[in-house]
Amino acid sequence: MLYTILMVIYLIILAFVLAMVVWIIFTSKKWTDKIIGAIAIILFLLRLLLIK
Amino acid sequence: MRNLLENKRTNLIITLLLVLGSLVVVWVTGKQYYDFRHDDYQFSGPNVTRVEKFSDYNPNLINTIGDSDIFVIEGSVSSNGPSLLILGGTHPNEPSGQLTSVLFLENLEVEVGTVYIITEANRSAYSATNPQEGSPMYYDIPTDNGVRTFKYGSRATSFVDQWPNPDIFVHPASGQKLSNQDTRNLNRSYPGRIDGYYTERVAYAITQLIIQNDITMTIDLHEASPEYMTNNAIVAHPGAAMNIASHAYLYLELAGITIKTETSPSNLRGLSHRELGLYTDTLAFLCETSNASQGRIHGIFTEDLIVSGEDKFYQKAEELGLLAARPTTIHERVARHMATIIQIVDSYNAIYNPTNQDNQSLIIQNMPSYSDVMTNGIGKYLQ
Repeated sequence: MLYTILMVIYLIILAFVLAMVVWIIFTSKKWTDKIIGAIAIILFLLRLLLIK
Repeated sequence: MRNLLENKRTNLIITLLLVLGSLVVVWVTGKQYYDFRHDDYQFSGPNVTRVEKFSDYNPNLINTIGDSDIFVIEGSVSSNGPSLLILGGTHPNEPSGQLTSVLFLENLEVEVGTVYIITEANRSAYSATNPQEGSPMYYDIPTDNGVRTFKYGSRATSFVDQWPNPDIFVHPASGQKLSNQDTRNLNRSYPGRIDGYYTERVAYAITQLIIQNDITMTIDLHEASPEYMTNNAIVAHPGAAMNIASHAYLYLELAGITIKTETSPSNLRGLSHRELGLYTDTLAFLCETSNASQGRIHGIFTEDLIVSGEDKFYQKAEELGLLAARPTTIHERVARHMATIIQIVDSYNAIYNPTNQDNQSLIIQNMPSYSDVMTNGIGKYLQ
């Protein structure tokens, strides 16, 4: 039960951070922000999908 | 370049392209991981009497990736008598262990006694490769029936199947403190716990298999990097197993196979040769061969490195006398394991049944010889 609650909290935090990264990519006018953000999206999304 | 991003429309297009690129990478890599994890091999053997599952010995493994097959070959004349467990696939990045077990599965005939064969001891470790190694996921062995592809996996249980893990792994049976990554190492988890971490549950199933079937001998097949000292060796539990290993060593050396014996150290816990010898009546052995793909010195990690063992950096290290064992081809590594298993059985028979009483020896046959495999390659003897 505790594990499930922690997992849900973890995924919520993950989704929030992913949303922030996407927001930064769209609003920033710096190339480095966009490219690093695009790479970060890959990692966060793969983790969020919990591929098994 | 920055001016491009000042324009709102251009900024949006570029951003969308980057996000789309990310999604493509997610799709490709996610699918590749999913396919690799679910790429299930169906091993079989012509003389298998029955197939059991790990969950028969630990119900906590039902409907999990850890529910591996146990292939049982009973003697055609009599299943009574000594028995043997060949344990392959404990560390999927040590391919000759699994390949040797498959070779026995697909060729072995048992006349007296029973042989148990496990080809994927830690199936979770076959679902991913070691992070940051950049290793291939598969390797090929040409056979008379075409190319056969095998999975190359990780040393340890996947995080997907066992997480979170403690920073320090306390081996439950002994209280010894081991590193965090050993929580996911099957060969530090024996004798296991029925409801422990995933890896401990797998270890428990194997231990129970041995106890419930009163398996006489257990041989755990491994590989080691060429710079590692315990190499081309039989590690045996102290006492009777060590006597057999010493006998086997003599005859292997006489046959031209250089090997050494080591006693299972009492100050390193969780390993098969230590714990299975302590907690069961089995004679516990572990065999090591020299695998360049496991080492730290090699260059680019290719399929050829796994199969041929050839690497210019290891060649240089060998010239400088820095290696404990020469890197060898997978054919030689499998041949060595196979010859060692057969000799351990012969040595057991010689020591425990010198007058050849009925049903007191484990009689196995139909395996190729060491020189056969060295000359023709293992592919000739695979289905």
